[in-house]
Amino acid sequence: MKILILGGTGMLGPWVIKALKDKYQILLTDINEPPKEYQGDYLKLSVDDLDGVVKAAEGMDCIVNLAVLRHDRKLAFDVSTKGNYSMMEAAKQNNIKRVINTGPHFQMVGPSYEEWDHNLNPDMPPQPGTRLYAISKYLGQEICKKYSNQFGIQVITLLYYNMRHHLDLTTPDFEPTEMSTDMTPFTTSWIDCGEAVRCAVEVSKDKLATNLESFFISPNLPHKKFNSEKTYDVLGWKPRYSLERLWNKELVRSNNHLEDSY
Amino acid sequence: MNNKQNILISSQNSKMSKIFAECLEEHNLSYFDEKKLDFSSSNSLEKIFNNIDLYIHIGYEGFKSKDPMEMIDYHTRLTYDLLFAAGRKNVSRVFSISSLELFENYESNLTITENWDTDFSVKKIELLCAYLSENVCKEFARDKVFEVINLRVGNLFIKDNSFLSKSNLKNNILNLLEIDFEEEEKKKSKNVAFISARKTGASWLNLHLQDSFTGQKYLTTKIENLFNNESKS
Repeated sequence: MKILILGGTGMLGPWVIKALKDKYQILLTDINEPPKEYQGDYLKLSVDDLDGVVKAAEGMDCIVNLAVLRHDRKLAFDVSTKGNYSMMEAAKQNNIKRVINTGPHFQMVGPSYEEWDHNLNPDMPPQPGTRLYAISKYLGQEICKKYSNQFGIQVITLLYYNMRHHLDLTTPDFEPTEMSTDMTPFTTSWIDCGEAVRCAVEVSKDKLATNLESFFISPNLPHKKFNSEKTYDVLGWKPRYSLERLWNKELVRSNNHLEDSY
Repeated sequence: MNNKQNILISSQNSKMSKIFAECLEEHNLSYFDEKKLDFSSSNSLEKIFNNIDLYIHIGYEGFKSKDPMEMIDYHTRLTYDLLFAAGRKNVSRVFSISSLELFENYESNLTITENWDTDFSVKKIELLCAYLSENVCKEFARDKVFEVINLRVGNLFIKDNSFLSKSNLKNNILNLLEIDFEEEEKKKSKNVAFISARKTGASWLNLHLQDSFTGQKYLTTKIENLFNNESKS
């Protein structure tokens, strides 16, 4: 199987490549060159280059979109909205029937959900609100939805929140983590985030209820803010790192071994 | 006229913009041509919304380009920029002008209302863009930046089964200027089953508008009930 990866040299890309490289033929694309550790095929390509993306997708079986730029208003829309238009046109024109899209949780569950409710699940109607990153990704997802409905393209959208390195729980910018405090509602290791993409590439069509399915890529967590049962059941994704250190208090001496019993 | 409003209309020189201008000629109107705006400067964008009460954003048949990327850019990013600027200048209401063609794939025998999900061909980029523009406006309403009336209009130019006459548009658009979201909420609360403690109305109102005649494709009961009138041409 040949897989086109868009925006593959960012934060998530290296982990997706780790998860896919031994089983699949990958064409990695991005505006930035990959680091020397990457040994595979690479094409310099911006995701909003419509003709370029259509051409890069020739002969591919699947497209994985990891492209993201959040800090500039124009670039955010170029990448997250117009980029998805390029991707879906490329899938349509090249008869590619599976697309894996990625984005932040709040392109679906914005503040109007997260600040109010629990047991949020990925089948709810999106409510991104006006935050730049969320709305630009959400509009891209709406383009995916319309193309999926009309041309029968399976779009599997993986929604992430907070991602940490499994060794030291830092962000890609080496931002440290405060242990044993209330955590960001869901936090996932990079390795498991990459694995989720492999699961999405491999999941049988029969397991997907519709052509457009979204998943929270999060371990099941005790606070029950987000419900990721569907990810476990349908994608068969099982996180290896549940990062308990983030939400368990530090060990303290117990004077009474009956505490929390009965 | 006593209640003159300061109204800003986008897509100057488009046919759609001109029709709305004719309907609202008794108000203080101003316009802009988005192709001449400097979107890199938030100050200059905000300036066009100074003292504006109502902004009419033409999301369909306004901005045109043969380049699909340029179309998407205007109806998403630049629409976001415009609405952001409108919010900064405390514009209280926005009309998002869209099209009943967003339901073109449904058969004519169906009772299509505002409750139905859109169904159109993405091959028509102007429809995809109208849909995206609606969604940008909706999120500003959701965040209560201002009230949005999303008006999906019938065909203003050809007498087909979704025809909308200018006189009908004018009647309804003038009524919509006066609508009070809070009052509408209070009216609903008069029915004991719907009584609530809400003090503000919804900030998003979705309405379909075309003329009423035998064989009309889209039902317009919601807007008729709102103003207790018939949408006859």
